[in-house]
Amino acid sequence: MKKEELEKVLHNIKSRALSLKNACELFLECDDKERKEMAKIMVETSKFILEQAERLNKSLNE
Amino acid sequence: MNKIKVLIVEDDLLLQKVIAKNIKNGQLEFATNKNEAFEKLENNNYDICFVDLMLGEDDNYSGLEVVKKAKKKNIYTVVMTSSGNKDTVNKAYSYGADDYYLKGNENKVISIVFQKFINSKKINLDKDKIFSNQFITKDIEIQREILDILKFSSDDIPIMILGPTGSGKTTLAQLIHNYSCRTGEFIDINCSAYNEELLEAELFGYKKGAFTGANEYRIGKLKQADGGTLFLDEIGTMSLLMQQKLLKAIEDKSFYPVGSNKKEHSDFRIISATLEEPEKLIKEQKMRQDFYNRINGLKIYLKPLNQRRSDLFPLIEYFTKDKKQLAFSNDAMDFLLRYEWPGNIRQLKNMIDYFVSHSKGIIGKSEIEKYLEKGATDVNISLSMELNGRALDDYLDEIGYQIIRKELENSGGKVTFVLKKLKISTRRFYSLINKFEGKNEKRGT
Repeated sequence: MKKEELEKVLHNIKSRALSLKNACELFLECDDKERKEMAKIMVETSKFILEQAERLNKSLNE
Repeated sequence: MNKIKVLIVEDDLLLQKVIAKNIKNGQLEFATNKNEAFEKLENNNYDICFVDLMLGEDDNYSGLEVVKKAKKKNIYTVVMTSSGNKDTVNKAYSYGADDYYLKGNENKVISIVFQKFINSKKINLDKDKIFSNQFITKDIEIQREILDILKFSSDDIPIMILGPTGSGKTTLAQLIHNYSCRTGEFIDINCSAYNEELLEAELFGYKKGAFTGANEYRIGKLKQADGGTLFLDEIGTMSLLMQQKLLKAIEDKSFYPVGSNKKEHSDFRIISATLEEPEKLIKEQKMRQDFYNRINGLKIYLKPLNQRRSDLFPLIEYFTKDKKQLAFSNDAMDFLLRYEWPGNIRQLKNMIDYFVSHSKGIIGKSEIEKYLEKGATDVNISLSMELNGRALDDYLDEIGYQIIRKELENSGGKVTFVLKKLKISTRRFYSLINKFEGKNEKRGT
């Protein structure tokens, strides 16, 4: 993986991880409807982070 | 109050939610990519636009183009980044971004960003009022620089003001404080008016019995400026040891008053001013590099009055507002415009105050020349033959103090010069300064 691409993957992981952290901090302040919506996006975000981490892992093992 | 119209350009849906939750009084719209953002910007009016620079997994900073587009529509634009990469942030600023923040602390940062946005709107609305009432200048260059610096007034970034004596440094510092949203007081101190020991006592305060004459606990300027702004004038005259002590207090936001082992805390913002170039002071080993790095966030240079002559008559008009109007002969006006004004605006103000109380009829060139030759020491200090309950010694001390202050102002704070001119001892000088500035904490220089 080229340095530029590597930087993008790391950026994606970091950026989404920060969103998860923020969402966790806000979660208790949300009403039920907001919580449901947020939890759903948290799942999607976690999947995205996993994908990016796998992309990273794959590139290192190639 | 109308809701602020906000566009959030962010591909991360979770972060969209987080930002939205932190915006209390906004009408929000979202875009997840450049094209969607362009369309919304084209068809709607927004007050503020939050832009993530990387819009998508493999995006190449297309957010920068959104910044450019938003600025074309004169929208206050805030860049969000998770990397904090300096080059990228600088690039965003070069595209016109007004502010940026590092993702991750939205619950704290968003309200500050909004405050800065509101402040920036206020500054734009107040523009005419600022330059006709608070910092009088018609000079376009200075106006632009002041507006630029006021944009950062609500940040805690330290500001350094450079400029010759009497050029308006204290007025500018006060203006920055007024737009800072800091609720504490504006506290100013002229570092050149104190020797090292007295300056330490003034800044940090002291405990009763800390030294001879410390008859009671005294709160220092650092503590007085808690929640507000501490303006350190003539910072270049501060000793290296004091710089070191102050640096520690600035970094820790805490300090020990003289003679005390009880730590005090204070949240103050630093604005400093100096007559000399700090780089020169560092080279001459009169200023510590680490101290300079800490106090030098943003820098602004105020030109001397003789380089902004268009300000002369607006300043005179301002100084005589609600007072006796002065009339100058043609040759006097010509002289005023050509005069070098070594003491700058302060010298001009002293002269105007003098003529307001002493002139009769049209003021000619010869009267101005006479005043300037004579100097301001023996004028403009009103003497009363009534003690009004004061002890005679106290009254005489007060007059002495006023003369010292006036001389300090006229000489640009040159203590040695003042001592020599007034033929007084260092001890007498500092005892008067201490006596009256101790009584009135807010007395300026």
